[in-house]
Amino acid sequence: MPDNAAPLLEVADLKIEFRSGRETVYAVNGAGFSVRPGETAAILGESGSGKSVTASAIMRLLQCPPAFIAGGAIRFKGDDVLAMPLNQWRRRCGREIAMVFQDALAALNPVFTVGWQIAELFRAHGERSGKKAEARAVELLARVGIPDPVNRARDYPHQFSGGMRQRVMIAMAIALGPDLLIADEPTTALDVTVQAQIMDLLQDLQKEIGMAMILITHDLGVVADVADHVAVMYAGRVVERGKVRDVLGKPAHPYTLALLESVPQLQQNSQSLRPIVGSPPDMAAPPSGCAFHPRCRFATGECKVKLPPKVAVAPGRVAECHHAKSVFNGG
Amino acid sequence: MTRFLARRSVHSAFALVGLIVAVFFLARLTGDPTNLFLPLDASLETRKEFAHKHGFDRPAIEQFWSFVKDMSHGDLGYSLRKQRPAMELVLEAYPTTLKLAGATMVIAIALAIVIGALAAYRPGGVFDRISGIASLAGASAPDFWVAITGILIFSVSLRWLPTSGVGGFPYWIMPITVLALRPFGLLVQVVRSSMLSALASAYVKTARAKGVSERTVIFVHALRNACLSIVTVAGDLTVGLINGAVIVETVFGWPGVGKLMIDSVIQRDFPIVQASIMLTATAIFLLNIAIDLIYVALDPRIRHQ
Ligand SMILES: Nc1ncnc2c1ncn2[C@@H]1O[C@H](COP(=O)(O)OP(=O)(O)OP(=O)(O)O)[C@@H](O)[C@H]1O
Ligand code: SF4
Ligand SMILES: [Mg+2]
Repeated sequence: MPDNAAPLLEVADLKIEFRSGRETVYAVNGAGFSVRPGETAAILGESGSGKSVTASAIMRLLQCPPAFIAGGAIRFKGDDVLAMPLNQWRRRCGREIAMVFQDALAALNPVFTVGWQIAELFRAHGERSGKKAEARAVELLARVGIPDPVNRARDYPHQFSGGMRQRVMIAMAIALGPDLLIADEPTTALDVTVQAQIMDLLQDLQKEIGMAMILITHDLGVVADVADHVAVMYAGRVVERGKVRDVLGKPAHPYTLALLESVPQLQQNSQSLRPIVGSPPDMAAPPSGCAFHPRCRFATGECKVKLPPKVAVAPGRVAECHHAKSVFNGG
Repeated sequence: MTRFLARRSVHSAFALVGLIVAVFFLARLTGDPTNLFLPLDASLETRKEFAHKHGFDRPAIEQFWSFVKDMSHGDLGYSLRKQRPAMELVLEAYPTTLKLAGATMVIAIALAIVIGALAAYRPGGVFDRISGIASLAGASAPDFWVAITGILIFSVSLRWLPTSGVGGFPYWIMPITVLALRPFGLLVQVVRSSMLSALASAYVKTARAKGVSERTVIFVHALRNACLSIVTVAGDLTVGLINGAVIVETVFGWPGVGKLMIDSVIQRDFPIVQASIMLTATAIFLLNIAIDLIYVALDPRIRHQ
């Protein structure tokens, strides 16, 4: 896919808060990234950095209140997602954009058969014949590699193993050949061997359908293996983005660097494993200036008071750090 | 499944035996019924004869054995006062109670589902707050007070409704309303809270992400799951009603098993008390099995255990 193709999805300066009686949690604080048709974009970040909230906002699945979209814009195929009537957006969900959730057991309805739940997608998008919808559901189960699909369609989610359940979720998501699939940690709940199978399946289907994918993960290995672009999230902001090879090969943000240094198989130039010091910020009271400063070994006085600008360190490479250039050039 | 039902039946059988023993002896602790049945000036001979005929002169434990022996032939004794088989009288009264309980629960459940679901859709909204107050009032209003106030207003002052008895539709209005208040109030709260957690669940998010209409999300995906807790609570409340709604049946002169039981206790008509308690216990046992079966039908996770 050429780099200058019009983006399929664009998230710009997105801000999401959760307001409750006593406190406000600033879950997303101006996150921005874009996804081009057919590409795989990874969103990488530790727990609580706002990955799932961002994904839910794109699908318009946030419960408002307590959630508030405090600013920013989401554009899908050029249309303003947040401004369009909800039922209009719903009709496009499932057909043009779909999502796979982390915990398939919770994300599948426990009281309906998986065949029914897949067939519902066809019914919701205009298939009038229940029989045809069921038949297409069986086809899909076969396509995602579930043995004995005719009988399995009549089973309930709890009768499947974790990996098979995630296959069912995937079947549901790709049923109508969407242009964009958001996969929120699709393999975190699974055994290592099964994880690889599910990632392979996702990649195969992506090629087949030609869809773009947003892969949310905190696994650097997965990012390195499957993604074209990566957006690194920290404390509700995308602190660095670019092509995977470039970002992982030569990080420009201290947080990306710290992530690389904390993972054994990926570090090439540094000798020792270095876990990231400190703990993730409390998003009800995020640190001033650069949110990473309490944990950053490059931090200076400026970092504590001033929000870092977006620094373009190289073509297609942006990092939000006061010292991005020096980190990039050998930090 | 069959094992589950069998275990349940054995438990219930034990409970029933315990209940029979307790009722039999407790009833006799309240005193000798002879004095209540015979006129004040009855001679000592007549009294002795009455007591002997019904066995009240024998030790309680002996009375109990003959009671058990009769019962094993399906004979629950004669009413002391009405001179008819006790079981016959109870079986006559029971459908009246069941009809009242059935109509009450159907109305309470239907209303509670609609109101509870709407309240849960916008928690904290105006509708939610109003229905919250209404359901709390319904759940906590004392039924005898509501019944008497209702009679005073609608029967005595306005003369819109009959004060008591059975008959056409107007006779049903007040007993059902008074009886439905508590189940309705409790069920609205159960529906609301179970719908709230269902609507916040991941599977509802999945359904929305699939492009399913909001109506289907609420009334198919969420409600179908909320039904599980609704059935449990509604079942318990129904059990409470088929006991015979003692207060409501008495206040409204409703000739059901609750009223029959109260009258018989006051008159120490032991066979009727025993027969109605046994029948009620059996009905509760059957109802509990029905509730279990419904629950199993609703929740595939239990079905496959
Ligand atoms: N409903 C909610 N109410 C209040 N705060 C919330 C809510 N949902 C999420 N948050 C907060 O928003 C922040 C971001 O959460 P999010 O789920 O997006 O994290 P994540 O990056 O997906 O993490 P993980 O890797 O654990 O899934 C967290 O601090 C979380 O506590
Ligand atoms: S802005 Fe400062 S504190 Fe933040 S990452 Fe860069 S160097 Fe570290
Ligand atoms: Mg998440």
